[in-house]
Amino acid sequence: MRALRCSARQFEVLVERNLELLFSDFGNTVLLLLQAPIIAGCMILVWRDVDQATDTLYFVMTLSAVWFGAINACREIVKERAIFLRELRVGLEIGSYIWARLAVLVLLGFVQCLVLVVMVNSQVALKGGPFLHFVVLLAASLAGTSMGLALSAVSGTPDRAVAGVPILLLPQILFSSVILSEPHASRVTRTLQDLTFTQWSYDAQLEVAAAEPHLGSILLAVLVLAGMAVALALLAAFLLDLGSRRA
Amino acid sequence: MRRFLVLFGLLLVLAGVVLLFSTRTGLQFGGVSMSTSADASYLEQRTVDFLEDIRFKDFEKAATYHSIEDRRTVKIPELLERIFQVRPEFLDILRYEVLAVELDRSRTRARVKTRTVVKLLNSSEIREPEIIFYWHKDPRDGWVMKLESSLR
Repeated sequence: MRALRCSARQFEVLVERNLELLFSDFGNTVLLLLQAPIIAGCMILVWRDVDQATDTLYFVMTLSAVWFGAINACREIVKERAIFLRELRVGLEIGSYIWARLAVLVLLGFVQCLVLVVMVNSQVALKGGPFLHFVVLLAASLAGTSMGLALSAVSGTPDRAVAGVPILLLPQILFSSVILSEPHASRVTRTLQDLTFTQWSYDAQLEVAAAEPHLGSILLAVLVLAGMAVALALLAAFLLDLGSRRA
Repeated sequence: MRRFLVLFGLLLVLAGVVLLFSTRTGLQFGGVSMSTSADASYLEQRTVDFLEDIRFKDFEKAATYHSIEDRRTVKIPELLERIFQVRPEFLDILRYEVLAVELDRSRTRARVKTRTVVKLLNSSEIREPEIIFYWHKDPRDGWVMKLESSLR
């Protein structure tokens, strides 16, 4: 149960420290933030030609949000493993460590999703308005961030962690209804679809864009994504605990 | 922690402003608008007003967006029937949004592209027609709509 231990005081100190690190590593932070306008610019180039938001645009936005989260988080633990192990010996609580990481990374994902939605919506009007699309993408980005943290917790080096991101993202593409429509999917595939963030986020975005959107379905999808994010953050904590016992 | 909360609060406010009050031509807070083009912002607002008038079947008010000469002859219900292919009494306008506002180089002609979500009450069918409203700047009446030209 060591992985679940969390104190408010440690959480506060670690959030401050992570924020400090984010600002001090200015080059890397800018590079991460620049992803959003670059990807949004590419989307605008493609979808301005058709002059309307299509279902594939929503899928690409969803995938981008998950990507932002995963790539932001994948190096965060592994790059300072030595510091983490040293601090663990003097009373660091793994729960505080993981939640503090997640809190600061959420800020980064927040800005990225905001830039993505605002830029795309300014040129290709998103059906249903930008606000709900942003909320759904933020939830997808949060889930991606937790997935990135779990990956970081098991990776040996930062390079391996970055190389692992596509391996985790490919199933998010493959097990989506964009690749294989529901009537053609087997039961196993449908079950796997239900476990991917992209499917929940994409379905929610389609619901936002629908002529008569059902807010309950959108809320459910956001809650499921948030639940997946919490589950993966806990997994990251357990993996980190396991790794630290072996070290 | 205080810095984190301040930053998070600022981002929430920024997101709220940008996502909830943004329009195609700038920002709109109640009656106050911030836009790079006053004409574009005005036309966006006028088009939304027009769509709201026809949503609430206020055809007299809807006629006032036309020039003074046209107001006597324009028949909004007939024009609506031509646009939506259904009699106005069967038309339920659920939602509308302005997609783009374009002005020509002389800035005396404009087109406002809109998407409207309508329900046909006699069949429960949902349609999402995109309609372009054409406007021109009359020296006397200011910006006036040419609804007939939108149907051509």
